[in-house]
Amino acid sequence: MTILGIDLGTTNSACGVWRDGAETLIPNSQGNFLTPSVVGVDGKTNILVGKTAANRLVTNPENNVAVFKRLMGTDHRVGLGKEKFTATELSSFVLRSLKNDAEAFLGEEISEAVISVPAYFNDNQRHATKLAGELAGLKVQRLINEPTAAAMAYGLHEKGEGIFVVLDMGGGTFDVSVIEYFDGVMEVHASAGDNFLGGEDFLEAMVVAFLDEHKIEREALSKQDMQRLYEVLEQAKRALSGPQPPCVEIELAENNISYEVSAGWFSRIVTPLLLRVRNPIEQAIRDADIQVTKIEEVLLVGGATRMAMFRNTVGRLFSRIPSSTLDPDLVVAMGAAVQAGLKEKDQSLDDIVLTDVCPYSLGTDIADAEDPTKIGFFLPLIERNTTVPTSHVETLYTVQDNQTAVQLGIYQGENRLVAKNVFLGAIDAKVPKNKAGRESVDVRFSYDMNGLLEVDVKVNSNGKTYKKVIEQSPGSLTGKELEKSHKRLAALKFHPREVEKNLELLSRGERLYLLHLGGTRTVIGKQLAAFENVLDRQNQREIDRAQQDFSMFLDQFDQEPLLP
Amino acid sequence: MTCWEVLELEATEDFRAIKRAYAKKLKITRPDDDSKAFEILHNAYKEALRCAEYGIADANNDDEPLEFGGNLDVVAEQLTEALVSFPEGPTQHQEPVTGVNPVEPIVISAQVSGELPEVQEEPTREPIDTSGPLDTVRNLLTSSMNVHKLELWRKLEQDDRWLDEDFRLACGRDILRLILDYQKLATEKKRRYRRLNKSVLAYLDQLGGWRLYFDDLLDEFDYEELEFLYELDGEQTSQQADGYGIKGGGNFQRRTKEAAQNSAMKTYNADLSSRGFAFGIDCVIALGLGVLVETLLGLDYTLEAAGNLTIVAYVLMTCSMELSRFQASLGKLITGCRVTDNGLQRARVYNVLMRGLVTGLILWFAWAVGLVVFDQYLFKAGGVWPLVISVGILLLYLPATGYKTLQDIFTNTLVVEERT
Repeated sequence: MTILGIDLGTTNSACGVWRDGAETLIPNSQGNFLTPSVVGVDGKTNILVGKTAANRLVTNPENNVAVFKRLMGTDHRVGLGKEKFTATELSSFVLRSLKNDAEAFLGEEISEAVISVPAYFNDNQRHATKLAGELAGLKVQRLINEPTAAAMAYGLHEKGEGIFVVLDMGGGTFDVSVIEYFDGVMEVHASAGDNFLGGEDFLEAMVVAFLDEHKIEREALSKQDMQRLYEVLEQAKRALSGPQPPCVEIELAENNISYEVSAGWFSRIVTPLLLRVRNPIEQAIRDADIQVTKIEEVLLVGGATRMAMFRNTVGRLFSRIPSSTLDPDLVVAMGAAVQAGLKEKDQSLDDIVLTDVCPYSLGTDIADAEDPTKIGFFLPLIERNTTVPTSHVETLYTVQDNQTAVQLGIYQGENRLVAKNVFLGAIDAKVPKNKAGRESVDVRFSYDMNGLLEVDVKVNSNGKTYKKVIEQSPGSLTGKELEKSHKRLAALKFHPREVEKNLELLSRGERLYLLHLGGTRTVIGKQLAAFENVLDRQNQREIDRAQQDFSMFLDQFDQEPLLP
Repeated sequence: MTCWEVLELEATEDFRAIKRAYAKKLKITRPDDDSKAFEILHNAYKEALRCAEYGIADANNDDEPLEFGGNLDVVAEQLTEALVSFPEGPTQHQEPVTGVNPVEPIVISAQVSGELPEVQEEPTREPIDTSGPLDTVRNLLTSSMNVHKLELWRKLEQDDRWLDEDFRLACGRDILRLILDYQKLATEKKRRYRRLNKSVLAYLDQLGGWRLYFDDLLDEFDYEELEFLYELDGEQTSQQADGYGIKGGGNFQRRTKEAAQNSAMKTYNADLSSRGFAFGIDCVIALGLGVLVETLLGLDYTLEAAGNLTIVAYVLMTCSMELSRFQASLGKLITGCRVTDNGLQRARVYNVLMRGLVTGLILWFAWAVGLVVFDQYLFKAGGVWPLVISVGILLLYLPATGYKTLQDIFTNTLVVEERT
């Protein structure tokens, strides 16, 4: 049974499988390894994912949505056409599209997957990711932390031994993992991160500064204008690493704006973001309890680590040059494929074992022993960065005379007060009436490799036990709701693969038409119309040729250095 | 079993050997397959490493692992050294890496090496100018309106000198000095000053690297002064709005999970309307019971008898219901209230009985007054008026006492309801 390894990213997603002793990445219908994590609707029952939706995001922002990974683990809904979707549902479309690509590529049905998540994703977000897999018809065999996955790919390719620091900055999240590799063992020592720090935030900072400098009110711009601005600034951001300072040209609020984006401007704007890079690094190194001098190498993962500013900052912090010998956009998917191979118990991976940590502390709420009226203090049972699977027992005592029950909240986080941590669930246990402090319960937290938390409460005086498995985060779907959601999503269909290619070209043409001005725009418009005419004639041979020509024509206007 | 027995290894101080033994055992004790066995193995491994580190090859010596605080300082110190002193480029630590493709890094080295020399200036460096950020801090500290607003403090970070560790250390130290002075003033309860909230402190700690450079700061500040830093763990310093960063899409519909969670309802004092309704319902029921008893006993339909019977029925009914597991009379049950003691636990029998008694007395008093006052004028309106009056008295009394009635106060009980 083939298990699909998936990197479900904020901006781009990719997938791969373990085949013949090596990981194999899977191209999508357009022949790319990267599928943009953008979802759109077209008409009533058709759903678009990937490049086509990414193009249409510029021309038709109301009906396409990106960066929804930020909403994972919440119940917020985003409108798309006439319907509203949660981030989980939107992610399930991306997963379904990847699954279709894999099935077409491998020629077999796929029903199991390993999905990567940011190391610093909390329990709710992990459950949401799992649910997205289920909605896409994939049984999620394992959630693997992104930096761990990347380290695994590196471990297999470089065969180096020692302690590595993996810095993973993708579109939306920044993760740091300290990993040791020896004798085929990949041991994660510590992970830390920031769930709101990624390439998208750098872009947002640019947009804010740009609007500020040109005295344009954000509210005055239409959604389409905003998308165009995002698009041109994203291109500028990428070009910054190149030899020439990029120049932005855009028509906004009835003005033609031409603006040279200099490295100095960029550096001033993103300083606050770069400052935030330091904290997780410091925390991970502190938690791992290692010396900076013992670090063998600093590995960069994720598209945003291509930024020269980021590399400089990291280089100064570690006083060494970080390395990225594998493609930072694909390395997580490669690692997920390795994990899939491990899960399949592939013989070629018999010598590899991975141990990971839980990134947050898990615990329960207690009252102040001195003054029982003060409640809501956090008692961590599993400290952050403990190697999983693990379990820990703590004995708690009653605080009131004749107390009849003990109510334990289950929380995740680092704050001293539970109110500031993430609530995961609660468990009640009845205790016999007695004087305060005479009754006690043993609370055991067990955390397994899949991020499943089990809580047992044993009442010591009568030996009764209460058990709770935190499988479903509060507010997530019940069985019935799941079925309903399934039905609703199944009603939305993908276009056939051969049509997809045409749609992609058309959407790309429309996007470029919007982005360019003057003569270029006229030319693109003409070619677009010609291509549409060919499609209308429905002659397959003619269409094939026109596809090639049109694609080549568009290539000269499209500067997208990063997407292969 | 000692850790060495688990690892099947002679006690040793050779890290390599421990790791090798662990790796060998790990491949047959995979964490996916047998979590219990893995936990034992992993703990043994950690302990063996600890023993080796402190040169106690004898694991039976149940030494406590060293305290985290101590370790942290060591690491912080090393980190500091690495950050501040910048050894000559990326040299010695890189060498042991084998199989690293040497081509790629060269590209970046052009960028990094450009930066390195300027940081590597020698001790006779100019004093670092921190006046800009310090002015911002002073301004904020003198404005009692703004001093707790994190978003205003964030102005500090718009200065790329912060990326330089020397500047960070120097400026962080200067800011700390101001902050500690301010906190001292606030502790002395000067009227204008309120102690800074934790999110501001946590933010400044991140910016100025206070915890990172803890040891350096000790030469100027007392340990007690800096102790507050260890309470800042897990404090939020940046908060993004819901739906932040989403691109495209139509309307955004907010639905917080927290709201769903908190619908694990909270308990409040029952409000006016709930209690009023509950009382009304109970009275009607009690009146019905009273009339029923009157009929059964074949008594005359006099107003006094009906009223007294109603009150007795009311007290009996509410007491028995409130003592039951419902903790509420029928009326309270219907309006979602229940009776508890002041600690929100189930009230004791004595308290509930007292409560009934006091209620009965109040009602009887209201009833008697009502009879005297309205006897002549409103005789024909039946027993309704006195009841209305007594409800009125109770209800007027409620808001003034934080939703406590006389009987609540006398008998140390509460009537609560659960709301989201």
